[in-house]
Amino acid sequence: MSGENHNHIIPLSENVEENIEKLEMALGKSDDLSIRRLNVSAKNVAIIHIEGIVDDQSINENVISPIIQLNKENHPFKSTKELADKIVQILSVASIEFIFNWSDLLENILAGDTVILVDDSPKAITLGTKKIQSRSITEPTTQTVIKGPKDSFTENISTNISLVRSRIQNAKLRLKLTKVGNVTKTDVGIMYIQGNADISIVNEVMSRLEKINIDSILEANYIEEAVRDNRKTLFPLMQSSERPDVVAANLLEGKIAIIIQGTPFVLILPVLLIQFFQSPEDYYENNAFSSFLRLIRIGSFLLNMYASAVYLALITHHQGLIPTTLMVTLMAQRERVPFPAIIELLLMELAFEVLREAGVRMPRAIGPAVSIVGALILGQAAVEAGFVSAAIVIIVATSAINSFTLPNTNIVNTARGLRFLLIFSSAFIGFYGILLLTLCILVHLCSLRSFGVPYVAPFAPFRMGAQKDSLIRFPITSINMNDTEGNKETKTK
Amino acid sequence: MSNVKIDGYQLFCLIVLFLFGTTIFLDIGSGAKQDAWILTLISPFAGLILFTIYYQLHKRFPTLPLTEYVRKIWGKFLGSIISYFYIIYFIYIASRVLRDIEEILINSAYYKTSITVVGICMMLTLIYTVNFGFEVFARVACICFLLIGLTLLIINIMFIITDLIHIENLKPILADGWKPIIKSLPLNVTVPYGELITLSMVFPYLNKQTKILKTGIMAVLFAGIYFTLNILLLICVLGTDVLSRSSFPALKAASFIDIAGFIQRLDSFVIILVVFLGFIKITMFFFCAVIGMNTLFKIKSSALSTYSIGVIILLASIMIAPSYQNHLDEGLEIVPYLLHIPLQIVIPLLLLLTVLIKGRIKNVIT
Repeated sequence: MSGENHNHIIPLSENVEENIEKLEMALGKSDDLSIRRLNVSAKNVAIIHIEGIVDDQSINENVISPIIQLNKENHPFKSTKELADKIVQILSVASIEFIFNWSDLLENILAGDTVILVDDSPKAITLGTKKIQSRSITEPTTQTVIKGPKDSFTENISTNISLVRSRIQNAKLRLKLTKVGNVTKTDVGIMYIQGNADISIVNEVMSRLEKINIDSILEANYIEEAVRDNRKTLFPLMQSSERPDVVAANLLEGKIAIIIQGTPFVLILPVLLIQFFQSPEDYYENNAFSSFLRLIRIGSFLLNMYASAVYLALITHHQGLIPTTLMVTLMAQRERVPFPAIIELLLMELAFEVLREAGVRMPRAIGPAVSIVGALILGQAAVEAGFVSAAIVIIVATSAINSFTLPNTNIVNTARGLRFLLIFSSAFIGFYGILLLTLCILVHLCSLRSFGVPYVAPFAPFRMGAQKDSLIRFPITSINMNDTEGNKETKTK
Repeated sequence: MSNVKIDGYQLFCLIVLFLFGTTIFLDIGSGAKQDAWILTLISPFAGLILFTIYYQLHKRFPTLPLTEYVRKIWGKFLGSIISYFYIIYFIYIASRVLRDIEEILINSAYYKTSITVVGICMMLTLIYTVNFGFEVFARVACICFLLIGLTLLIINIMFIITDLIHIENLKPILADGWKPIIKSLPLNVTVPYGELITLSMVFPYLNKQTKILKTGIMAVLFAGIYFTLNILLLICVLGTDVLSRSSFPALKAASFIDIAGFIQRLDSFVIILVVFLGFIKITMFFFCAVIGMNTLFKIKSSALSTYSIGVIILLASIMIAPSYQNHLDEGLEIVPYLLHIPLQIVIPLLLLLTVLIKGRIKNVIT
């Protein structure tokens, strides 16, 4: 690493061959390094790029052929400077830059630019010919909607930026690019809307990104873990989305997006808890209906977290609270089961977690097999064999189904973690345990901040104006996008 | 603790919930029988006077908590002793409230559970909260206010739609004249309004000083009105006879609710509210004790005082009384006269007088 630091003060040699030799040494004689040597007016000219990450056609047509043409014309150039200037003029490439030192040279070549070296000239000409192969824009796979845009981000940062830009055609949309990762030098872009976003948060994000000192950035989570406020929390302090419409909507609300090369997931910050229950579809449907669905989602989240723990508390500590007829049914089921309720519940919960993990990892072709094994063998047969009671299967299945209503997977994982904690506290001291753990979760939530904005923002601190788009959604015309949710909070800071 | 951001609404929630405390579940103003609602209508005004005294003292020492300006006013020696008494008082009241919650839980749901286990679980939660500082606590209060308000509203609507309300229980009005009301007034002013003395420990840490008086007055009046409605409901549902005999009237009243044989046992929701409100109240006293301890003994690490005071509150809650009846008797007969009236009313009043006289003398000299 220390060699690199020296490079940027080492100027380029004026001899083309010397430079090429040094470059080959630096890249370990890499086989995909392509060097085209030409001779223009008795000066050596070299055109260098790395194969595969450049636009070959553009280089052939717009770079090499004009230079060959120039050679044919046989101009008498007085100086090298004149030759270099002439070359710059005849190239039909959009972006042209001059560089003077080694580190820039290496960086540009590795990023997909083409470099032209000219004898006796201390500067190199770089041409923006980057073209990285990527898959085309497809439908989103993790955040699907019935009605609404069907495009999603890809692994290519420039495609992603274009998807956002095409939605917000405004001069105030700002982009700042930087490179993160000591080894990978991944392109990371920060997008925000000037005037809507709190500029102090933008600066804070920039400074936190600059402070990141890890070798590689391969996915959005690398950034998320490196820059979040509180490391000791189960709750996601940033939202990740693969939908350009979600990112655009958040930008308009004054949020900041971090776009990372190599992943279709874009980070959105600062984030509020309530945002994880809001689906983009909420704004594409009738507001009364989407408000109802939002409440359903919050209810599902709570059920997903609490169903098992509450059942356990009822069956082991507070039988008196169950209506008598239901109690008789439940107890009749439990009579054959050889395990205590907590073991029974943990077995089923873990079985479901295993099924879920298996569902993600296994090859597509054997997908139906898992559902047969899961549903029939684990569910029905286990009950019939008397290993578990039917009620437990129902409870675990209910909480599982409920977890799928949430539009954002980050918060589902939080609920999964908290569910086990709640089960243990419920097994220990029943409802009282659930209640105290809930208080602790509440206190923890209140202590969280996402880039300085309180996590539970529209409720504590309470903002009346922001209630129009938190638990329920008012008609779009009555929501002033600029003071929704925590945005006001950010601005008053 | 220095730069705490609490807006007016948060302070309002905090004061209201603190005033609600465990009082809304207990039989307040039992001495006045069916006229208890008149009592609860009058006492907030006495509460306002107390609040104004605390606020006036705070206004003269805006950067100091109670335990500090006592020493400024009455000198190092006497002041230190008084502030030491205040710290013990906060710890003692916290442990009394904790005992209340422990008893409610043990009497309603956890017959076979040890009081120690119930207390330890609560104390762990409390210490966790206090460690996060006052700002987080104020936000918790803000959310709790929404949750508790909604639950109380639903329960009260249930009372009305299940036809449990018997207006005739309120009659006769003022059967024994004003005497029983005036007699039990001091008791109803000291708890909960006198306990607002805790606010004078946290006032200096709030950032919006100008809003304190207005917010405080609104909160006290709001709590007073709710207490009145609450006691009216309890009298109407239970009648004075049952009211005076049951130890937790709100639990008893809620257990009467039965809609279609399905919505019943709502008393479990009341227990949830007891735990939430008790939590807020103990945390408040806990904070005061921690702040007092840190400033009086110049302790740098808040964790040290938090943990030690937490353990003291826990142990005290178990040891202060041999039985629940004993605990209640102490609360009704000894604590108000020996602790509440001197520490909530007499000392702050004397402090204010001293300050005023000192100011006068200074004016005369200059």
